[in-house]
Amino acid sequence: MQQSVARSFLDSVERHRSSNALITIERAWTYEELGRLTGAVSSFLGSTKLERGDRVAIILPNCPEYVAVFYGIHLAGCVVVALNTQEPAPVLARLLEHCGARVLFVDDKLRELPQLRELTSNGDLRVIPVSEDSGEWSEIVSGSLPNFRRHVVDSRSSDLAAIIYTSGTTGSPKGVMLSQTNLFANTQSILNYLPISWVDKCFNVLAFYYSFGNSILHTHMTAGACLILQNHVAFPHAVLKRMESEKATSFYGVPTTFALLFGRDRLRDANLSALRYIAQAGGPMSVAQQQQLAEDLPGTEIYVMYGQTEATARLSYLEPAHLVDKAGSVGKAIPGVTLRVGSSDESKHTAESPGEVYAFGDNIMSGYWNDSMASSEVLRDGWLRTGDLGYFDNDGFLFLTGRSSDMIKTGANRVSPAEIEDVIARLDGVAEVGVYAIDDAILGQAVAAAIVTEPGVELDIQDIQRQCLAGLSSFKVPKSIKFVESLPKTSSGKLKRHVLVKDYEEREQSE
Amino acid sequence: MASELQTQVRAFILENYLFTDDESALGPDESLLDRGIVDSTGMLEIIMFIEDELGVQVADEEMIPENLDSVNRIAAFVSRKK
Repeated sequence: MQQSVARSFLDSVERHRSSNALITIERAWTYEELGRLTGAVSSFLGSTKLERGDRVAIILPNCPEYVAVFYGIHLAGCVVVALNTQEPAPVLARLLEHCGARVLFVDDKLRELPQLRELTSNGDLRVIPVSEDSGEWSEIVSGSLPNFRRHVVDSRSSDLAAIIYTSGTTGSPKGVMLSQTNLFANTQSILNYLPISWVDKCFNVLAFYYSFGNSILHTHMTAGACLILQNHVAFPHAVLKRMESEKATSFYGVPTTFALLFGRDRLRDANLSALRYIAQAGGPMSVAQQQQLAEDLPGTEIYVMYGQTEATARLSYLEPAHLVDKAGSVGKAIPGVTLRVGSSDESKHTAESPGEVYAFGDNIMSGYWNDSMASSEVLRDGWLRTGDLGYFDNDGFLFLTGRSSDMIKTGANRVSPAEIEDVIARLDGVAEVGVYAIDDAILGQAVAAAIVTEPGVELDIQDIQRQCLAGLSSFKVPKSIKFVESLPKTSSGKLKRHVLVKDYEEREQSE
Repeated sequence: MASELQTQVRAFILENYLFTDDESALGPDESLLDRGIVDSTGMLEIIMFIEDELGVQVADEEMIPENLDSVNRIAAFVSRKK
């Protein structure tokens, strides 16, 4: 019998039957309840004409149904494709087509659902709205069998387990292919260094459809721990109150989450004495912000971590004990992962001349779905080119200095400028466009665009933003748009984004 | 009849999140979060707008959906505080 995250979840269901697996705003779900729902989904999928390796998509916020559908898909021998609930319908439809999804479990309250149904009506995609009022879902749920293990399809370690889409150009979506081994290995590595156990109550605000949230889900379900689900931090005071009253023992976030939730000196009045540790990943957090957290949460350990979707989730972590003496470092490779800087001699790379970070291990993806060209650009002999630049100090701690690629990190989202340029370039009156990142106090980075209009054409900024919203999720719509006479380019015609950034900064300073 | 405050709040949200001045794009009682018009960061920006442009300080314990999660709720909250 092969090891897999779904198999680990079933073990937790047996071991921790009556313990809470999830706590939503409404109520708590025991492992037994969640296991039954998972079994119901897997038996249903088993009864359809799906074959091993077929893709089944999920468009759901964090909720018990998401978890049950995820593991249910795996137990039925299929591949999970969880999509970002914030994407507009045309993007969702394109991704569903790209991965060839056969079944879609979707939030029946999703704003884009009517349009999505229309856009996918010609294919053979079976759309199942998830809601108590939906007949089909109710039927699936009522089919829950006490002994669902007999319906389980045994997965092989090399089987594809999940496709996670990251931002690419619109013409070629980048679907990161993760195998059963990838998910299982990265989950085990994380459990090796993070103190997660069945007594934990982790307060989770990160979306499961991203790799960071996905890793939190599997580590906690494997450990038999409890996840408290909180789907936004828009009302930080109320969220902190909930964290207090639920006596949360751990918390994960990207830098934006910490800024939103713990800003305005809120931690001074909060009683988070149950909080054993917090963990941060998803882009650099300033050393000042780390130190402020350490001061505000004296009894709480702080883990700084680094990873990316192409590595399932995690690559390295900094032990809490080194938070001060190795401030700014993302630590060392997690168990089972090897990191290297540059292609040959590592020692020549320093803060002044960083090299590209490469990673190796059982967690590295097998490639991008249906895109061997893009795959071969980042995978070389099993090593992953992360696109991040960095160096090791004399004690072997990794420091990241920037990115060699153009990817923009805004909040928890990774955004490709090319994807946004594709959309804007197609608008009437636009001759050329360059998209770049600008600093943002809350988001870390925000999206900005420089546009060259066609001769004699005048465009309205708000019009452009509104048109973007039809083809891009809101976090990809440029916050700043400037009209320019021409774009800075290299002699070979490649856009010089760093010049756009510099021009923007100079303009801001002079205004 | 919409109050001046309501108009101001609605205009801010329309301009910054829906990129339009078409008032029919946003109902006065629609939830900003449930409709996906703003996310957690957007809500922080709305609070900054209330404090900087409307001149009303929002205390931490006042940051709750009942005060902030629709045009009408924001307008009512601000007029109570003024």
